[in-house]
Amino acid sequence: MYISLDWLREYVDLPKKLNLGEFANLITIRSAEVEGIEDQQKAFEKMVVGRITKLKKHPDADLLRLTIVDIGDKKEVQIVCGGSNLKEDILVPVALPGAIVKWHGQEIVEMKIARVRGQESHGMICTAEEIGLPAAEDEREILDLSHLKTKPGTSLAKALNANDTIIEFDNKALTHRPDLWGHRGIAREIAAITGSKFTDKHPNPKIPQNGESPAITVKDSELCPRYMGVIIKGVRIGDSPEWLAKRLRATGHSVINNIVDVTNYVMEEIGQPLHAFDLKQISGGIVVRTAKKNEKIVTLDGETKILDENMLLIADKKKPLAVAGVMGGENSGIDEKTVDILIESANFDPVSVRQTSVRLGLRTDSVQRFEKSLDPLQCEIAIKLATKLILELCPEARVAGPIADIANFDTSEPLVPVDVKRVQTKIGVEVPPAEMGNYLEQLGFEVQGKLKENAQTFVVKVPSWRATKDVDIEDDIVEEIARMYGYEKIPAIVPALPAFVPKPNFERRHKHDTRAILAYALGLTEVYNYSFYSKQTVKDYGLNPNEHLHLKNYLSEEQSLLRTSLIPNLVRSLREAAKYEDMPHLFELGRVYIRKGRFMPEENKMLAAALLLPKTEKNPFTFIKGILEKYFEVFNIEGAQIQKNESPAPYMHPFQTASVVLRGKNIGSLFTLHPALTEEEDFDGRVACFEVNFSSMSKARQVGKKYEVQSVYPSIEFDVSVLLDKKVTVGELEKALKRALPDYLKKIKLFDSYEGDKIEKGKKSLAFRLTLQADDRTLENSDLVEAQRAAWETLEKLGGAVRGRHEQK
Amino acid sequence: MEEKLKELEAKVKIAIAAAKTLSELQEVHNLYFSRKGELAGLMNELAKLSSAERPKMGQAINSAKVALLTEFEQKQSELKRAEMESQLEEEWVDITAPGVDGHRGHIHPLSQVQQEVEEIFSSMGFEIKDGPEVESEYFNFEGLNIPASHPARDMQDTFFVDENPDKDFGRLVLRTHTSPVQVRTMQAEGAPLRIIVPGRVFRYEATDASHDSTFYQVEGLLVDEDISLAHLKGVMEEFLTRLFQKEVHVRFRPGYFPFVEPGLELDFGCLLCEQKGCKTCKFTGWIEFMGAGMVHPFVLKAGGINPEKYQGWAFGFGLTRLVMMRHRIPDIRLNFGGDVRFLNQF
Repeated sequence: MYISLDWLREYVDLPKKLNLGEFANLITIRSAEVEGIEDQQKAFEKMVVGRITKLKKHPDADLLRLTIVDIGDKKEVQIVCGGSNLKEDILVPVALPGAIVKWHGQEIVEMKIARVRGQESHGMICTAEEIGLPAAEDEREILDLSHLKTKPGTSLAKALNANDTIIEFDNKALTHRPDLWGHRGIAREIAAITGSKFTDKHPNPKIPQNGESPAITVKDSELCPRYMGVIIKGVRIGDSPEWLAKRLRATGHSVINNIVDVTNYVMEEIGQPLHAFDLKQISGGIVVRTAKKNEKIVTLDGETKILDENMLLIADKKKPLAVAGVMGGENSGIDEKTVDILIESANFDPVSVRQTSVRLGLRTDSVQRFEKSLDPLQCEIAIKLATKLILELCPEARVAGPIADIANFDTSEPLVPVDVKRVQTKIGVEVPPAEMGNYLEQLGFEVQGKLKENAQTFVVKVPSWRATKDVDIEDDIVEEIARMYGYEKIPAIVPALPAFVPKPNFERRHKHDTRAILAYALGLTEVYNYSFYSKQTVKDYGLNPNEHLHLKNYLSEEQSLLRTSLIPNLVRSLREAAKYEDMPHLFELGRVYIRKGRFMPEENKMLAAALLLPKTEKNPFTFIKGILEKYFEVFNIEGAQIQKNESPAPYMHPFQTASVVLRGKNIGSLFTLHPALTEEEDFDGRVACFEVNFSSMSKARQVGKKYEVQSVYPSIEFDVSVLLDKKVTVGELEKALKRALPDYLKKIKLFDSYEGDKIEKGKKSLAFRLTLQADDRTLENSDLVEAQRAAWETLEKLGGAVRGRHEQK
Repeated sequence: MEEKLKELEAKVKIAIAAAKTLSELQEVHNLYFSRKGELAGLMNELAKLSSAERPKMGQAINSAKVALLTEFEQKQSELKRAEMESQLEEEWVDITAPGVDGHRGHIHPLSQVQQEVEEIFSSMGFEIKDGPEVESEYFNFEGLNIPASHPARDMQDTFFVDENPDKDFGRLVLRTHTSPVQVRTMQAEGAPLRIIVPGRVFRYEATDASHDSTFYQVEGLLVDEDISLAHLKGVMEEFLTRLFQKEVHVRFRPGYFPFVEPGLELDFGCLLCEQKGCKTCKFTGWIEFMGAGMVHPFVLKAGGINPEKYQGWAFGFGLTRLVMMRHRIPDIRLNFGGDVRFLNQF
């Protein structure tokens, strides 16, 4: 919101010379964030009105033209310009070298003599946006100043009558302050925080005691607590005078005609939206009622809106005239033929206005104010100010009769009891009660009774403009006192709370440890992915559609479902990573969301990894298994086992997958990505992944590994190499060997494995190294012989041909 | 014989001196000092002498041998040293050539900063909490004093899940902030409370370099008796000072969040320009950091805590923004996906 300092000065007595930076900062830390403060004269420095005397094509650019501009003092300069509406003889704003402009309304740039596509340019012909005025629709449209009829060379500040200072507020910072949506309210606030004098205006136009008052029926006083109307006859529609137009420009309004401009002017001053109707379009008086279902209205923007029973309408006996508090109707607005008018100054229910606005997709200055809960008392000031101004602008007009006022609101101002001690402990400063009282009274609150030095409680009356919703409990009073005392004066104190050892969050710790091991020990890089994917992904991966939560509103089809697995997005990331890195290895920690048919879905924290391996790698599975095994080993995940996957998901290679089982519970899987998907995603290589429930693993992590005492007796090793059927598993062999060999078998290690041309198809060759060692004696040759024989026989029983057995015999 | 010894001595000396390599020297050894060497030969000739001359001569040969051996050994160590030196020089390497590429992975910057944040708050007695990312409207809004009609709901554009609403908890949404965990934790644990909640949040808004549909926040909540705004300043200055390892100042200004009263915006002093004003702080000397305030009594009540007895503050800051600030990351969208050119820098 833009606020004019000149306008504020009508209400608040501020020093003539203000340090604008300090002033803005004070408002920011006491009241609401000031986003910018701009001295117009400074902003228009080195800018003049120029006249385009010649217009030529730019030899090297289609969108640019060369202009010769008269900038006064008999000087003409060449300026390169891309404006879409350039004509000879028009007056334009010219930023000369040294001027500061907002390039495309954004970047702040100092003008310099420059060459634009090889042609010299002595400044810039500006669009409205580039000199800080409201932007034109076409961003290439330069601001045509021909209507100013001023001499070339006139300073732009003078030509635009711009000698004000504009304060820009952050609208979000005003969300809870219905009183700060006009100059009068801001002035009152600034008076309070600067300790300056606030002088209210009491507009008092001549209003006849008798005569024609509008007939007003309010059918729903909940949604319309107050409706005031006055009829003014004999207005002449025309342009607003410059002083008024200037203020509207300064606050970001376009200038339309004197009557509409007055309503906007009053809204900017009082914060009260008004509406002006053409009286002849109203048949039989104003009716404030809710709309009928599917009732239609054509609003001022020319659009037909379909209404429903929850929307409040301003109507006459026959037809809707306006959507209350949102926008007027096209049929009843002011045009150049209007003679008699009705001015509306009303108070509408904030929730209703807001909801209507959302449903109709109409967000206006009026909605922005009504939704904040306006003070119904300001209706009267606003309608009187508007009447006064209209009579000034149209001296021949007259007020037809008394102002009608249908009021159904509570005028009592709320009382809030305050506990001094509690206020002090909340702020953390012992502000004396008398000081509290002063602050509150500066802001227009009334402290009931006299405040004693040692008062422990007191009662505050809230002024009407703060009472609509902003202030109603003690905590609201704490805020008023704290900010007036000065947030900057509150000391920084670390609370002296009892020493407290926070309950450890093991899962979080395990998360950080997991990252360190996966990244720094096992070489994987962590990625973050979105929690969404598309319906197509569900199809491609063969995921269960019934387990998916769908978003009602989404940014793109690609992000319309919540993930039930980390794998699809992780694989997508792996594909992206492969663009920049050879064989990337990635992991992710994140949640999946499983629809369960009850209200709250199940959320699981998962750990997933994806490796890209060379195409020639026949067994990608073994790589992902290796990582998972190391992970289990590092964290001592007790009882984690890698077992046969009884029901591989469709996205897994059916013969290269296993389940991760923890105490009988399936907590995840590891697999080679199904080649169909590898192809679909266009990988040059093979992909292996795991996805495991992270919380389950975290719970199974054991602290304190038990040291295993090492035997002091020497060990013996022997190798055995066997040729057998491909489908006989290493797991089976190891299990059988362990069962068959004496208890001094310490270790079995597979050190070679071969399948291929050199051996029979369907067979594989495996080589194990077995270590024998007893805890209580030195083994003898006979022990070795026994162990070897047991090993050979075991392998043969499983259908293996032990290589070299006969020679060794 | 004596003469022979002198001749031999002279010969050996010359031979030792002449040896240029260890193997040449070894030959000298073989020729003169070995069992079949000339010195041994001379020793054998002693037998020819009379028993009176023998001991004298024997002694003379022996002492000559010891002296020569000393010389030999000196020469040997000299040559060894020289050979080592030349070997070392041959082994010169180019230290500017890159080291062997031992592959390592990278931890995402969000994770790294999150861990730091958790550690700092843990050391101040804050517990680390979690809550669901798919939330009910009740916990995300109503319980935080944001009724359906509240304009503040505009400030947080919400993703809705297409499921049947619950009569008590409303519709399912993707949480728009980490604040729902405030009420959840209050209900579960009561007062006093000291928690932080780092986590993923979602906003239904168009994405650009500084807005994303998904980002990370850290919620903080301290509820006890007599907890004040001064404590909020104290804890945040401590936190930021430890995080940036530089003294950091904070300031409050009025802000509005329905679940706190008074509501505040907290800024910290720009570290780049030391509050003198620069592009990063938009020449204000301050960096906007987070929303905060005293927990609204409505929220305490929703959490089952008696606001007459307990009071406290809450805050919420953008972890993603903090990470972007720390590492000068220009585009928020870089945080997501598999662009290793980004990830490998951390």
